[in-house]
Parts: sequence; structure tokens; C-alpha cells
Amino acid sequence: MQLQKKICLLGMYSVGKTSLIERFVYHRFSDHYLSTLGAKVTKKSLQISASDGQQIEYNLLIWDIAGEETENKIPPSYLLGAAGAILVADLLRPETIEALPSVLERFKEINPGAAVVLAGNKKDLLQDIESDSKEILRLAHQLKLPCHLTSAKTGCQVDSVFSALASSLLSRDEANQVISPPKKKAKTRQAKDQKR
Amino acid sequence: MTPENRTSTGKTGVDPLHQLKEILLTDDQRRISELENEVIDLHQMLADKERLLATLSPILTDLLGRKIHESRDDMATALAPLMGEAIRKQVEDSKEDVVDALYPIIGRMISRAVAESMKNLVSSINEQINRRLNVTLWVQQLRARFLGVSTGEILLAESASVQIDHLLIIHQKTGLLIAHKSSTNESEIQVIGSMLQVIKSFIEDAFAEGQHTGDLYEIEHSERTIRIESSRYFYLAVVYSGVPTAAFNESVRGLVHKIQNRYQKPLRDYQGDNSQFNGIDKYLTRFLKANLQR
Repeated sequence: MQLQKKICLLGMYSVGKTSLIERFVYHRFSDHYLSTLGAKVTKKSLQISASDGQQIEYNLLIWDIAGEETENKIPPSYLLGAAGAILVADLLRPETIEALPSVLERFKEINPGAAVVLAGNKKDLLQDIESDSKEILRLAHQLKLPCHLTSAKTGCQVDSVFSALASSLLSRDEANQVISPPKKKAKTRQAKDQKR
Repeated sequence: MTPENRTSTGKTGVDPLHQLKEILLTDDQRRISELENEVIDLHQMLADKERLLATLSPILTDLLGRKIHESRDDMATALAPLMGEAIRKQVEDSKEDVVDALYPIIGRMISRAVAESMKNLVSSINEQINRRLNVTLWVQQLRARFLGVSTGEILLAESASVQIDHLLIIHQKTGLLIAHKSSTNESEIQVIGSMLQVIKSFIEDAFAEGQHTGDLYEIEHSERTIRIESSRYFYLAVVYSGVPTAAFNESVRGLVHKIQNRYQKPLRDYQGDNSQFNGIDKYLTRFLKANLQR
């Protein structure tokens, strides 16, 4: 079964949203910083097994939304209809972590049932991982959200953060009965044969 | 002295049975009295229409909200017969209020329809002028006579002026591509659909004036035009080159209405599953064929 989903990458400017997408979709990284204007959409497919064993192919339309000083500057129509979001912070800039609760609040106002995952990016630049990641892990615990410490540069945990989001999408789709049980062709044939 | 008198007075003059009754039943009697008062109060409340309404109003809103949330279709079925009557009554009672409420929508629809009709009229007049001045018309007339058909048919056949490259059905809320037909192989067609949504959202937000929002109708790029026809849950984007005729514009609107009517429920409840739109290809293919013949 194939499902399409709109997902958003949100967070302050220069936290590495575009780099995470570049790494996840194209397996590449550039140190050259180019600020995103408005939004840009990229596509990536992910296969995931449903609880009944059925293979679900998620076609993720990933909206890379320009980071703003305040989340209110993002047009609501960019967020509307998103099934999920990855909220990204720069582990070396505490203000980007502090901004996440209000970004989450705005996103959830528009998409109350959506799945959300946190990503603490630029892990490769940390001197003391345990101490420097404490703040985002504390926030993730407080908000009850999964959190991954990522590095777009090395690729560390990048696939995992998108997979975690896909798993959350799957749980929601199973709960909302969006995922239909696989068609049992063999049984139908058997039934027809029996009728004959 | 009778035994009754003895027991009623006793030595101290107080009836022990009465005393026992009082000890055992005081609480119950008080409770009965309270309940009596409550029953009286309830009767009064039932009789007092205003009080009853004040009590029930907040619950009714919640109840209706919950019922609509739980079984939207059932509520729609239950309320549907009343809707026509309710609207008619409202129009009879307060015409002005209804006009005020509908003006932002109807006004916009009328201005758009008038603008489009004017555009078509200008296009049609230009076509006629060009035809009259064009010397090739004489050649066409000779050809028509030779082939035994009317000049109009020859002109119509040669004015297949629109070349359609893409037809995209895009979900209004998410920007996800529901269906498409393309004359070229375009692997990233889903991304094109979503980027179109980004552009559309940006323009509509940027030029929204207060409460007055509008829909993006057309984008021109080089020789290509992207014509957007919006419906409640989706929009149709036709990427074409050439000069559209009034009949082409009409067929775009017709296609949108057909899809809206046929797939209303899956469009409303869309969660990214395109398998719910079986047969939508048929509508798009028919549209392409009709516009190829034109």
C-alpha cells in the first residue's frame, strides 16, 4: 500500500534543516550556508512494516520551511495539512532549543493530530555530548516527544529521525484505520472454487 | 386509663415510640423534605421555559458537537431535510442578514465570472477580426468547398490551439498530488504538485487583504500557462501552451465539477491514500481527448 504524507521541517534559521534533508534524500552535505527562502519541497519514499506484516510505502513530501526569528512569521498555509514534523535545533545554540516549544504549539494548533519528532543537530561539533545534549533531552522528556541527536555532516542518526517520524505516522494511520488490510486473493479464489 | 393513653403519656409524659421514631427517622425526614423541595424546584424549572433553556443550552452545544464528531454522516443525513427549509425561512425573515453573510463569497464569484466572460469575449472578437483580415481565409474557404465541409469546421479543426502538457489534481489542504496525466515523462511530478502549492499559498497569503482572500487563477511562464481551477477540497492545474478558447475554459470548469461530485467523500477525508480515487484517470483521459479534438 502506498500513502503520501506532507511533513514539515521546522526550527530557527541556520539549525541545519536543509542539510538534514540533503543528507536524507541525496546523501550529501555542504558546509556552504544558503538561507532558504519561503519553502522548498523534496520527495523521499520510505518502506515500513505495518503490525499485520503489510509493507507500507510512505511517499514523504518534505517541506523545508525557512527558519524565522518568530514562528508567527511562517504562513499557516505552509503548515496546513501536515501529517508530521521534525523540529530541529542546533545543539550549540541554546536559543534554538528554547524556541522549540512555541514552534510546536503553533504547529499543533494547525495540525492537532500530527506526529512530531525532535532533532538536536550538529552533534559532530559537540565537545561534551552528555552535557551539551542535556537541555534538548530534558525538553523532549518534558514534551513527551522522541528525540534524536543528529549530524547532517556525518549522517549520524539522520535516517533514524525520519524513520522515527514514519513509525509515528504508521501508528496514527493504523489507529485511524487509514491502512486497509491486504486483499486476500487466495481466499477469494478458494471461496469461488467452493461455490462451484 | 386505656393502654393507648398509658403508652402515649408514660411516666415522663413523652411517648417512647415517638421518641424512637424521631431518633431513627429525623435524618430520613429531612432528606425527604429536601428531595420534595428539589422535585418542586425541578417542576418549576420545567414549567419555566427560560430557566430550562438556560440550563440546557451549554449541554446542547457540547452534545451536538460530540454527535457531529462521532457520526458526521448520520448527522448530515438527519439534518439534510431541514436545511433547505431553514435557509428559505431565514431568507424570508431577514433577507438583509443573508445578503450580508453571502456577499463576500457571491461578490467574488460574480466578479471572477464577469472578468472571465469579458476575457473570453475579447478573445472571441480578436479571433473574428483576425479571421476577417486574414487572406488565408480565402484559401480555407476554397479548401472547404473542395472537401465538402463548412469553412467553420476547417477553421475549428485548425484552431486546436491548446497543447496540454500536464493535468494535475492537487489536494487543497496538503498540496499532495491525487492524480495526474502528462504528455511528457516527469518523474518528479509529485514535487511539482507540492511546489505549485507553495507558490499558490505564498501568493494568496501575500496579497490577502484582511478578510478578503482570493485564489490564484493563472501563472504564465514563457509559452506555457498554468491554469488553476479551485474547488473546495482540491484544485485542477492545467499546464498548457497556446490560446485557450471559451469552450476550453468551460471544459476545465466542467472537469472540476465532475470530480468534485464523484469523489466528494474521499476528497473530504483524504489521508494520502490515492487508491480511493479509482477511475479518476478516466475523467482526465476524456478531458485530454476532448481537447485534442477541439
